Amino acid sequence: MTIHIRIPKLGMEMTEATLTKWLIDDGAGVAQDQALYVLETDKVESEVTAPVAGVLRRIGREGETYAVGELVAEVLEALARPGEDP
Amino acid sequence: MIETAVSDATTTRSMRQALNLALDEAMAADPTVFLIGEDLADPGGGISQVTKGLSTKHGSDRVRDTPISEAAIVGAAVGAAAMGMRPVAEVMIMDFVSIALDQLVNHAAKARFMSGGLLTMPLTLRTAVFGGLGSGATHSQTLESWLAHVPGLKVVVPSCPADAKGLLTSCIFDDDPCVFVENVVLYGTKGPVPDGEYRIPLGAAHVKRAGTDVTVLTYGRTVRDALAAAEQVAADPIDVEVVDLRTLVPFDAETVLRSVARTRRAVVAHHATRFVGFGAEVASVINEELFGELEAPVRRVGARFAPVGSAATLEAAVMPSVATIVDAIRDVAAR
Amino acid sequence: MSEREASLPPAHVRRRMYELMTLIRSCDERVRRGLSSGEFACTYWPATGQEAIAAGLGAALRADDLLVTTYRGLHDQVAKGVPLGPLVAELLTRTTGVNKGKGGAMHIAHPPSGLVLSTGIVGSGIPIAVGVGLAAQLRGSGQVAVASFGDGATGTGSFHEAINLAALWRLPVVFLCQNNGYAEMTATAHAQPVAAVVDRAAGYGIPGERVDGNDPDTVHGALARAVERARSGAGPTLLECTTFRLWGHYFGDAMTYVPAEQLEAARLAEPVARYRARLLQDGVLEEAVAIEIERQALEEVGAAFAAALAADRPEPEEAFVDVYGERSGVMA
Repeated sequence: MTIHIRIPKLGMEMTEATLTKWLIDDGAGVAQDQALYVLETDKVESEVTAPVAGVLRRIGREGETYAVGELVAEVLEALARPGEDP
Repeated sequence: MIETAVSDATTTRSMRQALNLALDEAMAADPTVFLIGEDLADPGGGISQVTKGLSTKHGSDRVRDTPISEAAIVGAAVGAAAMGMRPVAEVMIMDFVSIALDQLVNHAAKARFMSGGLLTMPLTLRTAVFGGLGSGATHSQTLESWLAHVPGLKVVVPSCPADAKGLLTSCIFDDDPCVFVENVVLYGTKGPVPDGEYRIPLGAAHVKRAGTDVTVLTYGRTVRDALAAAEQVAADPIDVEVVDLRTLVPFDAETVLRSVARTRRAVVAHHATRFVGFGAEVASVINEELFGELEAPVRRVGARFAPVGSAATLEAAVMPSVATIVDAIRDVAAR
Repeated sequence: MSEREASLPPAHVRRRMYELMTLIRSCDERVRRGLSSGEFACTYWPATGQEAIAAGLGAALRADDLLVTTYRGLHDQVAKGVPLGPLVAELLTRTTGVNKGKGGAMHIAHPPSGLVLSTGIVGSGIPIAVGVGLAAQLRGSGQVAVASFGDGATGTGSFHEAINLAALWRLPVVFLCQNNGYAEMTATAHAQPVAAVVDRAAGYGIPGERVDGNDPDTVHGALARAVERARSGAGPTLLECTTFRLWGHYFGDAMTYVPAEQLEAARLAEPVARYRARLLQDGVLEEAVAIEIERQALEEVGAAFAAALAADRPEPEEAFVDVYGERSGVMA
């Protein structure tokens, strides 16, 4: 199953944020709760984590600003954990 | 719901007595009714003796004297109401309602809505305006428009003993949070009160004096001043209709508009400050609904925009009076 | 039997508490993952790390006992027995929510399960819980009301007025303080002049107890004692359960005010894994049973979220329903 990764709403006043840095390569495997990218608002810098394990497909670009809810990546859900035989 | 009285018989009573009777009868009729507030129990029976005799008759369990804790008084009423009881809480002096506003505004007013109807708040909050006694600015305010501004609250302001009894009883048995605004100046005033159980539906204004030339819309202690003003201008001749709103929320727009549609001239009068007072809402509703039919703009009479000084001269300088209401009536009549 | 074993709850209660903790944690994780991935947005104040207190509460109360909690209340709400599907739907403001999507995450109210209401105003639930206890006393129902609140609430006037009144009237109330070390972004030590919240109990003439809020067995014991005391007519207790708030004040809080080592240590000592290990060691759980409990929780949570996400938000007309019992006459 493909899981959509959208810009999260971190705090009541937040409307947009900048994707400052990808932490996982495009096409690489990622574990559940592993950090995917760094998100920066005018208040704070946070690491956004993967909700499920799987393979990352990047959509958003480093340095770009996106609105809350915009699609910036997809995770193709793994049937087994990365590193294991499927 | 129509006005209900057991018989046509009435007895002359003071407003204090009428309120006492309403509380007494409600407590006798329904074991979930209880009182909570400061100094309510005997021998004092309340700062204005409105609750006199009730703790002796119904027990101190059901007439609960509290420490000075307005937030806890109203908060406890919220909790008890959530459990299906009918608490009648008292905030002794209306200025102190500010201490209880969180419980009243953020909780009592919104519990039914926020719970999707799972909770109801059948509580009544009695409070009294202490203006007119020279007590000074923190013990003299008339604040009902603060509370009428909050969706979910009902705001009831009686002007005479009969209305006090009928409206308080209805508030106690209403399933929504009702703020019942008494006035220390009215406690001793007398009038005929129907005998036996008596309820006045909330949301029903009452024509206290029928007339044809000018409508005066008013409530609470200002009704007596409006009636006196009407008597004074009768000789002009100006025939004044006095409409007692009785409840600010629910608001009886129908009675208001029906009267002004006929007279085409309106004055709104209350003792709360004129600026952003409830009269502003009434005047706006008339403006929106009857614009092309009015002979004059709606005039508002209210207190001047200043704290109420303690000296009698200062209080008189800001408060409305029969004279200021007369002026307003003559002003709209002349147009 | 050792002294420690003698003071522990029975095995079936301990298993039940682990089930509750697992369900709460699964639900919390699912919310945080959904928020983090932008799958949904809702206001959320995570109680991650405070599951043991809720589990003790859930196991120690009778079904007809009553609870008032706060906006950081998912753990309390699950533990009290608010049905999970409608609870999750309310977080996501759907019509299928316990409150038809009209209260949202901060205002969960479910009287049928004894969860009277949750409040978004810090401290304000405490006087309300006192009123709930007053109703129980007036009716002689034997019910106990629990006010669940954080350390931050102990600075409010509401806290003082409520405890003062309940102590004076010996109401059947338990004041349960979940001291997680922080009130919004301020450390507890900078928000109160006393070393421990429990130090305030003496000022009201009521007993106070301070326990490790990350140990469900201890919490259960202390709560059971306080509830019994309340139910017997002896009056309220102030129970302080110390814990740690693992994910900040609100979801998205970067927690810059928490020393990194402190946060790391707290995360390593988190109560769910710790209790699991203890129960395995005590022979109350076997590995296979624990895994099954965890699997069931995941399944239940998954189903609740799937259903909620498929449901509708309230229609606009619903904005004017349940403002009053009947019409207000206001031309809105």
